[in-house]
Amino acid sequence: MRTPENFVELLARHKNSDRRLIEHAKRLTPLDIETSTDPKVVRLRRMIYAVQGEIQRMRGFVRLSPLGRGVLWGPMSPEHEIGFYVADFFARRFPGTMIVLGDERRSWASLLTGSGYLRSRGVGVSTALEELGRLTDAEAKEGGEEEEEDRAEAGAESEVEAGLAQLWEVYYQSQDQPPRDGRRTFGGRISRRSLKSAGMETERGRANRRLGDFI
Amino acid sequence: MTTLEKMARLAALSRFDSLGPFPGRKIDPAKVEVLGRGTKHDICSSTSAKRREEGIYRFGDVLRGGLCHSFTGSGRCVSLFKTLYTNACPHDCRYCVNAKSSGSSRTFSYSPEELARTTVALYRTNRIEGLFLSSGIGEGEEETMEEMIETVRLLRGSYGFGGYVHLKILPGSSRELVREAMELSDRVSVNLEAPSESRLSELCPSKDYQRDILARQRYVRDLSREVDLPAGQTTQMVVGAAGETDREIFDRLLFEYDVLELKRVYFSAFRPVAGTAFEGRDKEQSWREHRLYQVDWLRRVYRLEDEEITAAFDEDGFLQNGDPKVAIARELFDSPIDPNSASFGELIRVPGIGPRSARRIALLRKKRRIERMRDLAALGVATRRAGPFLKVGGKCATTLDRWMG
Repeated sequence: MRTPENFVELLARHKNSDRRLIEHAKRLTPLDIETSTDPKVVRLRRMIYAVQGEIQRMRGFVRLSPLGRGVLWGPMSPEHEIGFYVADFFARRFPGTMIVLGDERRSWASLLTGSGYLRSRGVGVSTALEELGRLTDAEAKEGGEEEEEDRAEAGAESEVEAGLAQLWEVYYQSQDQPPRDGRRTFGGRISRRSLKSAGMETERGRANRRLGDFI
Repeated sequence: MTTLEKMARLAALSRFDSLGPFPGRKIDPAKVEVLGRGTKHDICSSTSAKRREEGIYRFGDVLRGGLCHSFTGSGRCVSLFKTLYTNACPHDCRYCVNAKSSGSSRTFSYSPEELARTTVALYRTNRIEGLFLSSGIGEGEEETMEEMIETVRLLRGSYGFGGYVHLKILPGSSRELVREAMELSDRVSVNLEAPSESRLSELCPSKDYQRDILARQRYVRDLSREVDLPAGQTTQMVVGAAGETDREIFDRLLFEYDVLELKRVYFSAFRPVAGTAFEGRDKEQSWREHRLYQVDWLRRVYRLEDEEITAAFDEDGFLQNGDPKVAIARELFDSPIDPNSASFGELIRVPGIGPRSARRIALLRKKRRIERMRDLAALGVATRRAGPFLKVGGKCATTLDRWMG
């Protein structure tokens, strides 16, 4: 069954969720959600699936970039309140590395340490990154040779980053089989909403380009 | 909630290296393009690996359900960094752009370190879920296979990479190398390419079906009793290049699942590639690939009997461009069935009802009777397809057959 045990928590993350819906959901079990034909419950089920779907899409589509030592950040503007679900997922994949995700209004930072997750919510990813930049600079001033090495390393990293973006673009195009007769043969697509939410660039291929991209 | 300052301090204690190509040494884009393009028709996914140990976190991990990181213009999921190790190959497969007679002028090869670093960098930036590594034969099966294994050894050892790795076993690889490949990978595969020896000889005369392919698949089957291979063994067939029928492919598929214990069989509709011996042949319709996947799904997931599936093939052994489940259901059901009394096995055989909706029906009818079609729709049943095979609330949908009969 697709409805998880923590379905009330997921429902609370939906953009149209309210206290009345959550109270209603608390009286139900995952089995009720799955098997009910009551239109109200069917609506709850769809809302839970929508949140699950967005978490899965953002896990795949968000692109991360290193910011100095120990930080990976990525643009993400989800429709539902799922920031920490996605940030925690990456924190699990990269233990010891701080993950910062967000857009111009919201940011979510997560770090997995030996004792569990540390989390921080902010008012925008650029603000969070600026703050992290200041902290790194302050550390560099206090530090000695090791920090000098780190700065050199960071310069090399940005060079590698640029090369990597180009490499990815070449690779991505090498996998493409152009759609025939304007139709997609294999059915998969990235919705316009996801392209925007995850700030994807390379993947906005021929089929996803808009007139504005060429102006 | 905690402060960014505290998190930054703790994160700085963990050494971080973005890796990627060595600074100052750029990878030739032509190499990335040619070796990437060489795997364009290889089908793979990152699903089915289940090796997460609860509570133990390391760099990289796998999601059991897989994860698509992007889609190509044609709608194919891009999940893994799919690449050849080298495109040099002494074989002469007539459909392959890397065949020695295809006239491809430039040959490229990665080094293990270069490929491992690139994979880690792409993974770190969340562009991929892992690595799919195939190859031409290069200098020889053993040498190239050893280098491919070295790449994965570097990934797992030096870089502590816990992500997904799918490694191709080259035809003719020794049993010892097959074992090493299995110890390091989530999934391994040997490409069948064709459903029989005679069909393969038409596609690739220099390969021996028994010795180069089936014998390696048996190695993997036998070794997987000793070595843990989380996502199992898979294979792939080119559809429509050698004039084979769908029935031949289906019979081979049964052998692969039942005797060689494969996890998945993938299909790739033939596309003629410029510069190859099959350049002038007609491309295969992609719906044929899709219908074969549906039949595979009916056997593997819905667990239909082989004899039942036979009803989907026509007299010449081909599938029609229609849902094979509908063709099977027409043979199977003389009259519409009542979802209140049908067994799970019957429900799952109705087009428009999948395993999940069949389970939901079974659970709901324990509480109350199903009397309306919209109740089924609310449970996820595709009622337009299921309607002609169901009797709900004493009513059956009108079909042309019933109206005339």
